[in-house]
Amino acid sequence: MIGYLAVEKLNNKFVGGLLVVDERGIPQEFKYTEPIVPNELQRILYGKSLDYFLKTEIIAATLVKKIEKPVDFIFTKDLELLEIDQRVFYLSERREEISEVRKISEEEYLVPYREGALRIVGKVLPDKLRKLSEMLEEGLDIFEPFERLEKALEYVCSST
Amino acid sequence: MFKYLIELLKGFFLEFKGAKARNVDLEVEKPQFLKREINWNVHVLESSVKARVLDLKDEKGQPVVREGCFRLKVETSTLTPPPVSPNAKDKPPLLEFPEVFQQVAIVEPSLHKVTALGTCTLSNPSLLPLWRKKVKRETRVEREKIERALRVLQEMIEKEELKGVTFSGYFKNVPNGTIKIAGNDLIVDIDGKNPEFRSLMVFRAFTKDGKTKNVLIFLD
Repeated sequence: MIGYLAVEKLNNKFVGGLLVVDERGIPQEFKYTEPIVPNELQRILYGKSLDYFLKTEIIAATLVKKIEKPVDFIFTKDLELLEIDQRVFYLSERREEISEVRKISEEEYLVPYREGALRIVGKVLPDKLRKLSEMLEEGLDIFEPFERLEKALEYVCSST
Repeated sequence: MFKYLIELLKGFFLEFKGAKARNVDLEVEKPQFLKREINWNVHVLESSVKARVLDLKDEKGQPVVREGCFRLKVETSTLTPPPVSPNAKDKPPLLEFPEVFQQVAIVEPSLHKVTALGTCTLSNPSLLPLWRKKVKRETRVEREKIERALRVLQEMIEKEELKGVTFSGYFKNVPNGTIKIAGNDLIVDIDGKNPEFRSLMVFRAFTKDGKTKNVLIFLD
């Protein structure tokens, strides 16, 4: 199973969500936070650290702690969220075409994906990386659940 | 001469009889005397403040610092109200002391707590947006699948009178549900929690009466 983690700031409300999908993309678990609206005094007291603190320690870390399903990966498109848990990986798409998994640095890999490559940042174990490659070969649309997650968060924010 | 004699006689009589005098009674009532005993308790507090004084003078072009010391005596006193003498019954006191209102100088402030930021985690995997999946068009199609799709399309062209057919796309892993075509992608509202996944080829058909319709051919 794959987890998708996102924290959004929508209309000055901070909201986060963690969507766990199976290999076919079907939702298995979805946890989200109550939208947080910091008051003026909190904004003054936290200063510039407010956004980072809210995103990482308050929202993302809380969500990851509450996860119930066993996940192989938790993907995020936000590099700041990498530090909260070792299961969290940064995911982005690269246009360069590669034929096999390539290790760029200690915590950075390129994995063949469609006509390009996936850039994965984080400590990935070799067997997990192999499993991911197989899922991608079977046609897993790895970015698509992010869209659903973002829409779900918009829905949550608009309905509260 | 006669006038002179009259004046002389008048003076003689005045001296003899004396001047006219009126009797004035000088005795007056004694004023009332109210006795007040007033005890003034004066508390003298002494304290001294030492100050160091430095005097800088320029003597013959050379700066000289002189140091001196003086004491400043500070005296403060307090007044206590005088006891009223027993002789002064029903009489108002000499000095009326003002009423003293007590006011607490420092008002204890009420405390307001700025709550630390926190959040609750909620769970709802059945939210509608999560079950609406976007399926992207594949860029490669296996020859076998194209041939199967073309056979189905040929039958359809024979049955219905079509003006033309164009290829829209090939989609893998399309779950069961309501399918909408949005540009090059499919939007699927997934039915049920355990849907089946199939591959799908989409064509656009133009009928002779000028209408267009999408033809979906499932391949699995």
